[in-house]
Amino acid sequence: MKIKTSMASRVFDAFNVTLMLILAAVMLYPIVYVASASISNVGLVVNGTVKLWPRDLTFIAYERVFADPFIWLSYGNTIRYTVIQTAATLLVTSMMAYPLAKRRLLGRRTILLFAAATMLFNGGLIPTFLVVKQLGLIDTIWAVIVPTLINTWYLFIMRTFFEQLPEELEEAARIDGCGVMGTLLRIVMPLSKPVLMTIGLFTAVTQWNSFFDALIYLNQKELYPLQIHLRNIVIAGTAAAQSQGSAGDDEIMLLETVKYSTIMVAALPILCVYPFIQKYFVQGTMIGGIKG
Amino acid sequence: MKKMKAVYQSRTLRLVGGVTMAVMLAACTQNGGGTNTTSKEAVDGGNSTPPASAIEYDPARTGGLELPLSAEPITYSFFIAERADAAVSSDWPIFRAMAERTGVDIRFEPAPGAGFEEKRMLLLATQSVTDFFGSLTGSLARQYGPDGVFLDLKPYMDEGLMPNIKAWYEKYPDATVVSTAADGGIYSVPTFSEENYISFSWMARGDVMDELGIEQPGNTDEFYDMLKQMKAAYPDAYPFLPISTAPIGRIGLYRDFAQMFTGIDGMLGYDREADEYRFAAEDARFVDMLTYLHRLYEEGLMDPEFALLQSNQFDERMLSGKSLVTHHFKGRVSQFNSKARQADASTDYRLVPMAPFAAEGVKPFQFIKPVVFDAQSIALAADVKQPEIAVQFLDYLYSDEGTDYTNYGIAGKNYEVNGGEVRYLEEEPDLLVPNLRKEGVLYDSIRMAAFDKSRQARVLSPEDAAIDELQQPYIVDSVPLMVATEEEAELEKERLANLTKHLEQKLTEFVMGKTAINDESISQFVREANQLGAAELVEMYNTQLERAGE
Repeated sequence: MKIKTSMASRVFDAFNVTLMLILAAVMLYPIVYVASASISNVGLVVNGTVKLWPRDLTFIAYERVFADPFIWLSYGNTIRYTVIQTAATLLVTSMMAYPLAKRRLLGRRTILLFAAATMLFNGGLIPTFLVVKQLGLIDTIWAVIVPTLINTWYLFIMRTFFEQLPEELEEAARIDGCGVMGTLLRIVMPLSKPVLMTIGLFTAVTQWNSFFDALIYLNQKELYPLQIHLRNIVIAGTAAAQSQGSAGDDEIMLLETVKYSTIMVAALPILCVYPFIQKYFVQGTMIGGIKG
Repeated sequence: MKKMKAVYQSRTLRLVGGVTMAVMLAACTQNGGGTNTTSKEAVDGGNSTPPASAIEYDPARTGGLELPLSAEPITYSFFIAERADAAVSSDWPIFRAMAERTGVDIRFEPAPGAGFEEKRMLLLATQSVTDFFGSLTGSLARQYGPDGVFLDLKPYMDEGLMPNIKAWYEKYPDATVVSTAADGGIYSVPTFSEENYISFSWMARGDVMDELGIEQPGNTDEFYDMLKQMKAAYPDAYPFLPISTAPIGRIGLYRDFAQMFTGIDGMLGYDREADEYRFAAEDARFVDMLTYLHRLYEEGLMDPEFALLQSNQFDERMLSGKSLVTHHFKGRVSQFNSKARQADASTDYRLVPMAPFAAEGVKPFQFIKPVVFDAQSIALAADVKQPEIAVQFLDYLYSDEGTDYTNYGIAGKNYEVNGGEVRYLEEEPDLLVPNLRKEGVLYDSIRMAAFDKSRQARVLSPEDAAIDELQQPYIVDSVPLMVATEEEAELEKERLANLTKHLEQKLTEFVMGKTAINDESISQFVREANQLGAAELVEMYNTQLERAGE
């Protein structure tokens, strides 16, 4: 049976769809533009002829990017840091969130307060750097992973999620002979896929995009992640970079389209992750968020 | 499109350098590695070491340094700002060659150009500097040196371990001034560039000027007429596009026009005639400058978005013909021309340099870049291992032989010598500098001296040659070199940025007609600027100038 829709409702739908289309276009345009510019003639990009679609197709910008050995090295580093950090964060955060979700835990409030305090206060740049230095982490992969291993906000989301899980399931597991660790790893974790996916994605994206920790804690070029490389290329030639280039007379000479091809190369993989995690996404943030 | 040459050399390349040096190298199997060690560790890089006698050298070309500097191979870490267009590599052929000559291996710790200032501050503040610390300003070295971050080089200079640097200091005594800290120590060595170097140039579309029969402007009125004619022929264009609105500094709309109307180097700067620092707004001719710029804006002769431009918009407007005239780094002339040809091989686009000009009654001039350039200094860590060797390698970078590597590259590969004349081998002028730089030649913070070598070895494009020739009659010495005390540096830091921002904003309001140009508004402008520290800064600069004169 066909449900009759009122005029007002149809107008509203039309308005909605139009608005969404406009929003989608606004979001899509920069991506399409970057993609087009990266395969266009550099002269036409610089003088503004390229507006949306590529002109005078050339792949020289990609050739340049791929000719740089450091791009692969830093690519590998970024993937390594992201995978390790994501896995470690999920493991460690859930190991902390799970007991905190249990009301019978002694000193639960105090621990939560301590954790919450880190959301408001931190040691500041130089003291943090000194701690990392004294722990001997400088110039190792752990310098970019350990200091940001637990994010309090994710911890709270996860704890709230764990609180929702029916206690009875865990009791059943225990009756069947499961230990505490076993309950967490075999019962709780599989049931928590949405929150794990969400936090995993957040962590992965943050690590993928982060550059500052790497900038200050890593000295060897061989350890640099992709974002340092990317940032260097994209920011080069802007007013900020020109004014700090103290030698002054030597402007950075970079093929403009290389900026765009580097952006494409750096952003594409992480962009591809989203569609697969989408379905867990809303579920994960909402459940954690509302009751938290 | 011309395909760029492959730039990366084999990473294990060993090059034996020095046709000019007439040297013979004994075979030595030095291990170029050391990349997996931490910064302060001494590294035994080699399996066998070159015996000291195996290296022949000309003491005249090393300034008296005895090579190799170290019998045992030794590796030092080297902090450097990395250019986005040329990645730093510890395997650069020139450093391999220098390592074979000196026994000193360098392992770079590059920080990307975007972000290196933060990293530099952190390393300084936590006293974690590398053995060789490049991309350093003289003022930071003077500040952190006495705190025990950097090695005092003075005793080594006095001891005679740094003959080349000593010679540079004797030739350019300014260097002593900028590098001596409050406690009398010398903690950094500046860059010695070259004499009579001009950085900027006015430039305009030569094809349009020819088409309209416009001559080069001799003063600001003729410049106005020129823009007017261009606008008449191209009503959609805004002929003049300033690079920025900076009121103080080396280049920028308000800085440039303050000089052209008052003879003062910027809104707050050095007045050559009066030999003192002055605030341009207090000059009687300041009102002419405002009126003039307002007129350019009102009549559409200057881009109406001049105050908001991003650098890519700037390039776009200059290349698409939306704008026809600007004042920029002189290298831009050939850069724009080659980009225009890239987009359209048959284009008429031709940017040509113009000579400096000024208002009637004001002498046009062009400052040259100072030879002693302390914004690009280098220092050694206070706890550097084997300091005698480190200071000698630092000195080597300033020697005739060392500057051959940093200015020319590797003989036979990057350059050749014919009858005593050095010529680069790269034939494409546009690719010369970028390609050399990818091998560490002409790289900031590595090339420490004798910049004129590269100028002589280079075949200038006709455009570039024309720029220097046009400007020669107008060049004047750079602003006298001054050194700030700690309090003065503090005052400058506190005031200058805010004042600059304020000036920029208020001047733009005048130019755009938001504020009427009259005696009252100008005196209010002066009053506000003085409240923000203009007068205080002028007084401070004049004190420094007086000190420098002594």
